[in-house]
Amino acid sequence: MEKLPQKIYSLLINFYPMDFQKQHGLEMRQTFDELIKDYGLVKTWLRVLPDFFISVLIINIKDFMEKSSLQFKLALWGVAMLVPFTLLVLAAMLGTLFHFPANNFIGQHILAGHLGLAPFILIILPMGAFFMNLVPLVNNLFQQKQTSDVASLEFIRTNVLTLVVAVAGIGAAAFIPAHDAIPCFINGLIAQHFHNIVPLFDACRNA
Amino acid sequence: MNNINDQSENLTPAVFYILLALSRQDLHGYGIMKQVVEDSQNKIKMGPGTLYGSIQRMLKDKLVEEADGHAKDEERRKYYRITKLGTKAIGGELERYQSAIKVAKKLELMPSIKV
Repeated sequence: MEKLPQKIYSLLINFYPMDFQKQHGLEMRQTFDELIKDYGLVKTWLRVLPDFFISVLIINIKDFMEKSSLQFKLALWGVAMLVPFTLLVLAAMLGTLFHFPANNFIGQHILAGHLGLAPFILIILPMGAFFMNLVPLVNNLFQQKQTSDVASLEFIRTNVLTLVVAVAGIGAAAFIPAHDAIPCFINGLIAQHFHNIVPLFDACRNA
Repeated sequence: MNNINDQSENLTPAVFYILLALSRQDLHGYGIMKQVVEDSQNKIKMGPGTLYGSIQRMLKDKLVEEADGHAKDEERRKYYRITKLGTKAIGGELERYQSAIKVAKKLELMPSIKV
């Protein structure tokens, strides 16, 4: 049975491209086990973690660049969407932080709103990994390189953890800005017997 | 395209030391990792991501290949072997180093090394 460090490392391996995982995933786990045996837990993580962050980025980019032109266009589109969004949120947070004094009511609320967007930044990596694996799957299905059942099962097997992380991030992102309005919304929903939902939603948001 | 086959391109330190390790004998991933640490005198400590990322690239470039005949290994680990092209590539790289060292020696940049 896998121990916690092995489970965590197995989860990290999911961020590599699907082909890479298939070819080297098992070997990487074996190597991780042997590193722990020889160097202990702390030294192993100190060696593995920085290597993970650099290599996962490089290997994903190389893998992406080698795929079809459709995939390359999708990648550029994804980066074009994510980079300005991330910079915008960070700039807005910093701007708010410096512009309003700490005890300013409006400033605090704007900052809270921006902080609500922070989980979106946290889901960039898992979502990126997910879509990087999705595109080869679609390519394979179109080119009929393998049967759809095999390709789909393989896709689910390698992406389920990645997807869980991403969905948790999206859930957190939705919950943080909206949680104050949830009790009001549910009470109002019961009281108004499901009528006039849109005005109710607006009222709760402005409450 | 990135291609080491024409030997015009320098090898990265990771690729160089992996080829050097495999020049002795066929090794599995962790064996390569340990040999690289020893050969580089602790200066290059690769993690699994860098190691297998480099190996994947080297398999594509045909510098190394998977080696059969290691069935006695209980954990069914993959072993890797250097190819003729890999031997040629590391030879070319060592020649480049050698000429650079000669120049450095003439310039007395490395007085401790005798060529």
